[in-house]
Amino acid sequence: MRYAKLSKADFPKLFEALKGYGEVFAPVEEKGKVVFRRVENLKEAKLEYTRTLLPPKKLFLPPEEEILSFEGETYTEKLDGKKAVLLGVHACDINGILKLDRVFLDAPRDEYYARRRENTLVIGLTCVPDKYCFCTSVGSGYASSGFDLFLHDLGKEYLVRIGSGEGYRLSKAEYFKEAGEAEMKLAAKLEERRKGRIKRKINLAGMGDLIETEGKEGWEELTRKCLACGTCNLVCPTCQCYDVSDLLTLDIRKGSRVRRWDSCMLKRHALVAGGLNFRPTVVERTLNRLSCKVGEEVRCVGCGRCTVYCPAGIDFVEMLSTIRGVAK
Amino acid sequence: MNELLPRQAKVLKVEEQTPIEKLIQLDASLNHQPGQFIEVSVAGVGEAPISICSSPTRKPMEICVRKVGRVTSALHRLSPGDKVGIRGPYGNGFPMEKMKGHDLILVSGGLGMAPLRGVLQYALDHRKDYKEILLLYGIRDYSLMLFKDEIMKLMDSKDCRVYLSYEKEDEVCKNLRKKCPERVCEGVVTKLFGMVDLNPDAYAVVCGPPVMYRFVFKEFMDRNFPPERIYMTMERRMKCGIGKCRHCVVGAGTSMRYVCKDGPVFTGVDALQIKGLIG
Ligand SMILES: Cc1cc2nc3c(=O)[nH]c(=O)nc-3n(C[C@H](O)[C@H](O)[C@H](O)COP(=O)(O)OP(=O)(O)OC[C@H]3O[C@@H](n4cnc5c(N)ncnc54)[C@H](O)[C@@H]3O)c2cc1C
Ligand code: SF4
Ligand code: SF4
Ligand code: FES
Repeated sequence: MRYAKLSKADFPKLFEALKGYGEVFAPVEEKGKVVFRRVENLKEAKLEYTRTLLPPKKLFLPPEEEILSFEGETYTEKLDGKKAVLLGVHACDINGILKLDRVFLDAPRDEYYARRRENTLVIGLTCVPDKYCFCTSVGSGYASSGFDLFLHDLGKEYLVRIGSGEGYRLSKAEYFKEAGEAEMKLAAKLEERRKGRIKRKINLAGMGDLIETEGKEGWEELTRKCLACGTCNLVCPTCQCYDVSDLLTLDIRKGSRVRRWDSCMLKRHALVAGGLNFRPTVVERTLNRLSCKVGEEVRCVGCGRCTVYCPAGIDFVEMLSTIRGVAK
Repeated sequence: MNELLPRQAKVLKVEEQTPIEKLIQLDASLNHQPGQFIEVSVAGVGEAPISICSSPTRKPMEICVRKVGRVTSALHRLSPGDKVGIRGPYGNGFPMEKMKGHDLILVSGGLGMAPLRGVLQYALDHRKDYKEILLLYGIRDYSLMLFKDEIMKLMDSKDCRVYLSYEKEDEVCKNLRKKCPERVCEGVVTKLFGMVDLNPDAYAVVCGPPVMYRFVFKEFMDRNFPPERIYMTMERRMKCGIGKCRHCVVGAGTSMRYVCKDGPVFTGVDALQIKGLIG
């Protein structure tokens, strides 16, 4: 990897360069919540934040998008070539993007996701953890790839890790200075301090087996409060489920095929024609969700969103600890 | 290439099979494996996964559609000359090569005959490559039997031994039972297992309604049939057909699979490993 240094005073210059590349989306405070939103000015961005409400995946896989339009039986694809910049993405969310890459970029690749991913710069940034974060337990507290630039806050300046060709071109601007071992050591020290603030821990070794053998009563107890609302899925950076439907214009000949985020916690997710439901109750659906996140492979990146935003107060880590039999 | 973009296929023929099922011939050639499926689109209505019910050795390609909802009803309204959108073929299909040199035991219930017909046609078109071919077919009554002409013809042929079970007796079934009581009976498809000797060297190919698998699997297990020689094709809700939308996922804990991409054909070993695969 290549490294550089950027003084905070020069950040607005980098911001202008990013704007020259495409529309810039950054964390912005809105009604007490932080969300990724288009910004025109660096001042609008909230650079020190804990987590956004929706993960940055919404830029690659929008909550709702038209994928095809049709007239009669002739289909036309709706691919978007817009350039964009995702500024201020935390390590856990970058790791979440990498997990989604494996789904949507693996053959046959999803062209919609792939185009947006290719046309979007990802600029990583040091995070501000809180008591719900547990990225260090799932190996996603540090981003080794998946970004164009990663900015490590060193106080007055940033150590910049350069992760791509586009990142390299940006770093050629005169306001980037040379950096090396000294800055990396300082960044590592600060990383160490930040890591120490992440107190939540979960041991995921053999979690899949534990989930698989958890008994019926255990599941019922674990899911008793669940409203099956699907919020945990919608806020998760690694949830991939989507639903598809066709919409017609009034003259019936034309229309569009639309896809939307879906949620495996909703009743109809595994419902087929004739009324047979493969995951009829919240028990089967939670079993599926946990298996998907930490079963065969670890797809959870420890961002804490599902716990923070669950209206029923269900705590993801506590649920897993209970299954492990180590709950407080 | 955009995998989600359907291409057009012209409808060549539409034939009523039963009061609820139609056979639709499509002007398309996909070089598929028996057991694979396509996503069929009717613009403005939606897409549905449908098995290809013909063998790649027979042209044109055919699908057999049961009318159960929006898309399938729209497919039932098609007439020759109309167009549909198709994507695929998707899924793994049955390992026709691997099964060569062995007996085939096809077990099907109801609409499960659709994907198995492709296997059957393929084996008949490569008749010398397979040993005995047994078809165990369970229907509700004669009116709901699929591919009636083909199956009745096979009943009299030496190429394949057909066993038939029916749940409701009607004239045709009654006569069939009288004609060959050793191959036709009243009851569900598992009852037919009492009429056949299972060669442990055979391969079993199974397709039927979701409730059927558990019982059929048990028949095989009770007779010590090797689970790795059982191939079963599964149905789940599907949207993308290519391992992205995660609607079709099965399993729990340590083993999770996409039915669309890792299946729809799974083995008896998968059934033992993957929680909930066969209920
Ligand atoms: C691998 C596979 C092969 C299949 N092969 C055949 C076949 O050869 N012939 C046949 O008639 N049917 C087949 N089916 C079932 C067929 O896909 C459903 O009957 C059909 O999707 C129902 O759609 P609908 O719009 O008519 O019904 P609706 O109830 O209006 O369905 C609404 C939506 O639910 C989903 N859905 C509902 N039921 C199913 C289901 N059983 N499987 C998957 N998605 C479902 C669809 O995505 C659909 O858009 C197959 C299913 C799978 C998974
Ligand atoms: S957010 Fe909470 S209440 Fe809603 S489905 Fe998820 S676990 Fe259940
Ligand atoms: S499962 Fe919960 S904690 Fe893990 S990545 Fe998803 S939202 Fe974050
Ligand atoms: S149907 Fe979409 S993942 Fe299988």
